[in-house]
Amino acid sequence: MSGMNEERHSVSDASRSNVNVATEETVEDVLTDDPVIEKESTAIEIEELTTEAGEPTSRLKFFMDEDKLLGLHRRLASKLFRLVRKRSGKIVPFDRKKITTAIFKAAQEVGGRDQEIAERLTDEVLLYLYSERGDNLPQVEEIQDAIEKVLIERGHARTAKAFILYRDKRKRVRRKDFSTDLAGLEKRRAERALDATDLALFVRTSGDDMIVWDREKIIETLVREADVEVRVAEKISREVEDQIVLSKTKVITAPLIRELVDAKLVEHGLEGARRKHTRLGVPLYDAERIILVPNKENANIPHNPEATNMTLAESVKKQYALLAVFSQDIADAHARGDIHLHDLGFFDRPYCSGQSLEYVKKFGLHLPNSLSIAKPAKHPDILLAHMVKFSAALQGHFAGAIGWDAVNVFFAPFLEGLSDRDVHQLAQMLIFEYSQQSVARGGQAIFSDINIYWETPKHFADVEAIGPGATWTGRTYRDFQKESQHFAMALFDIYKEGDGTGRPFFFPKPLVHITDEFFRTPGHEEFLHHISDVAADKGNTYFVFDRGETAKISECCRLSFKLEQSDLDDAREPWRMRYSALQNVTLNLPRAAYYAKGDDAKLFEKLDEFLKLAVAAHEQKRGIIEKILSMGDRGPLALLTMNLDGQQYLRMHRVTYLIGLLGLNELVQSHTGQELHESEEAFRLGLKVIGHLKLACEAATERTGMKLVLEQTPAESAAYRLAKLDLEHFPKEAERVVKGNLAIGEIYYTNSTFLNVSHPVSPIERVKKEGKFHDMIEAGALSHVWIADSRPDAGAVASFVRRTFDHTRNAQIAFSPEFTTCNTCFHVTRGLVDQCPRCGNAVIEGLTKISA
Amino acid sequence: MKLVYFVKDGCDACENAKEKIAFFLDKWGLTDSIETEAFSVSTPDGLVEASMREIADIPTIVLEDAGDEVARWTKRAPTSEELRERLAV
Repeated sequence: MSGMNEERHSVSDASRSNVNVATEETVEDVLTDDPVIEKESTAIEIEELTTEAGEPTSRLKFFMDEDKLLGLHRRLASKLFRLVRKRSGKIVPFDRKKITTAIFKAAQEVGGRDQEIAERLTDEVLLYLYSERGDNLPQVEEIQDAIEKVLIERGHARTAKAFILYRDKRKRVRRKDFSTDLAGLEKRRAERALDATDLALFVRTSGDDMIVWDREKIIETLVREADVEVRVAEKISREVEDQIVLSKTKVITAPLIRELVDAKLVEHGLEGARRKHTRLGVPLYDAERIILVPNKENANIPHNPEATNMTLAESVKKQYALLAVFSQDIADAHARGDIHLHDLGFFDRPYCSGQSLEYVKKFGLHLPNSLSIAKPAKHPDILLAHMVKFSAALQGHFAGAIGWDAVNVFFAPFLEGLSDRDVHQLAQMLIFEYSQQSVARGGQAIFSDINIYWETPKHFADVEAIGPGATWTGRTYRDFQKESQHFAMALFDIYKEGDGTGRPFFFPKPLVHITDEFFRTPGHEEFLHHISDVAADKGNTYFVFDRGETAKISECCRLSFKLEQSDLDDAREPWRMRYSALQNVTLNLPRAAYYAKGDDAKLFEKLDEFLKLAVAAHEQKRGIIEKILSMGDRGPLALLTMNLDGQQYLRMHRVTYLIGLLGLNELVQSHTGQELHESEEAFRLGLKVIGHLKLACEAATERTGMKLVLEQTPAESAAYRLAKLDLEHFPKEAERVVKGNLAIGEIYYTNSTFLNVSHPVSPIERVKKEGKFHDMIEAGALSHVWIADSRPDAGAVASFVRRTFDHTRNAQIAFSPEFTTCNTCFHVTRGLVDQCPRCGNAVIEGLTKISA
Repeated sequence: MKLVYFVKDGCDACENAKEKIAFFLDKWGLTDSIETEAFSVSTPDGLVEASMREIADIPTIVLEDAGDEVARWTKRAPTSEELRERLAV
């Protein structure tokens, strides 16, 4: 296409002569180390080279706009292509001028005279290479292919043809050279064979193959991965080679070579390079244990091949996160135990989320990269199937729970006219589908929560309901309250029955919102009695208190958020109401007291320091998630970038960043000598610490634009890990306050802002006292009412709930019974026992909520 | 008797409530006999006090008699009638 225009260019005899000289050189030389051509080319008078349309080729919009091109080019020039591999395998420094010269000489062949255009085409070649290969070491042939591609695509067909002819000519010359030199080559090989390292040493690679030792691979890797200077890389490669030769080994693994190289990097004082070059993985011993020994740390994770896959992957990703996602100071603070970064093995996904069933009702199941797309459900059982499958898909994209708002309210339009039996069948399906599916995140059941309302929430009451097939019903959700209540009752009938053996269901956790309106809505007494009966018998019910005008959405058993005005505006289109917490970083509160040694000012200074680290960790997490999301539907979080309602599914502008609290009781105990429950002075200090952190979070929110809020730390492993680290680093101070059994190492810090769990305090006093912290813990808080093997009357529980709502500031309570299941006869016994009372077998499994 | 205000920095309603009460105390000649104290929930100490008294909204005005709470007005100032009645003016 550019031929006619190119023909318009005048070509002097002199320049043709120069071109002819140039084409006698190999392109490989041009691209690597031939200074002669460069001198010749710069001496030529040039005329602008244009495309067929007469456009200067500086219009580089075919690939991307000029600013982006220049920006990316700078990256390429500065880092990505620092080396090139010649045909011989030799690695030499990369020089972009060689590409420019090659292009320019080909252009000159057909009359081109503008070297500036050749420079810009070089930019495009680099861009193209980068887009095809990333920052992998380019080979000469690949560069030449890229030159051809760019010349053709950019409308320089005649220049491209000249370049292709030249390549072909050189290829034929090389073949001839090869035949001629074969004897010499064999001779050289024979000579090299005398060197044991070349002939006798093989490398077993991570790619499941066996290759001949090649020292230059070390150089290439060090330069590409760890930014080591070529000269230093060369030296290290020789040292490693010498070491391997001396060992007389015949086969060496690539991981071992890497470790030897890493040792050399340390010897050379190149710690930064070592970090970049390090290999991630687990020792053989650990891998075997992960594969064969059940994981007892998390009761929700089964022991099967999927689960062990997850554990192994989690281990590697955790190492990666600490090396490559979080800065050194953050990684060190985590390792040291000043802070705890939760779910490091899931650094590449958000923490937890809350969804709206309306999204599924309105859009069906239309997930990116899925094999099939389902239209909006027309029947309740199909809607349930969509909901469960969407939950499973989401579970693979979040580290924590998948919560669903107002489930009974949004199901209601699908239940009109159904019999009581049908509604119960649907309720049963919902609970069993969630509690039995082992489909995602290491074969876990879907970690799920369903929010339930007796009344129609005020913000949905006048919203037009979406019915079967995503049709508008012409009626509001208030109009479907009867069906909504029917479904709520049925769900708790199923919770009351338990599973096939009578055990309580683990998932989905039912969160019932108790509001002022709840107590004004007819039938609430019966419903409260029913859910209280379930709480007393099975412990399932979570009572979430939304007092006054407050409306909340709960994402998991304790994480909930007050709906702001913008949320209430969204409620007109409820499918928009989806929320997420991006990460949870817990502060080791007792350690701040150990540092402070009784000094109040130092205590708060230290807390500020920990919080600062946590905020920085959140900024880094936000960075990696935004980077992944920017990859759109080609990235690993494609599901969260889907856009069916005019905005990305994961609404980054609405996410929250959690500051977890752990061991307030031990902080206070260490600082004052008394636990939270032991004196008003101690209790007030606890409140002041939380108040201080709340205000500091607000200031950080203002500063960073990230919504930072306090949260009760859920992770039981953090309570153990941080206590253990403190016993190592602060033995004198920690021994005085850690809870549990020091002798056998079963230790912990008291969870979040809880009072000492072993302190004998009446349930109402505990709920009242712990509730005084809850207004300051914006991301949700919870008190457990321990009932162990007792079986309180449903009426008493209901009365307790009412009193808690009316007379405390407690945000949420749950009743926690204990059970023992016999693994032989499957009999379920209330309380923790050592032996099955029915069959006498000792193979039993205790079930208790962990909150210490 | 003592009036305890729970306020927040930048809260106009809080300032209005305090001014209104001050106006009536002055009008009734009670400025010297009724002690007042304000806690800002924009400070940790203010949050401690609010949490101890389970106060979640501002402005909140608490009337104490010998240390015991005898009346509380939440998210508003008391009306002059309410205040007059409680202060037995």
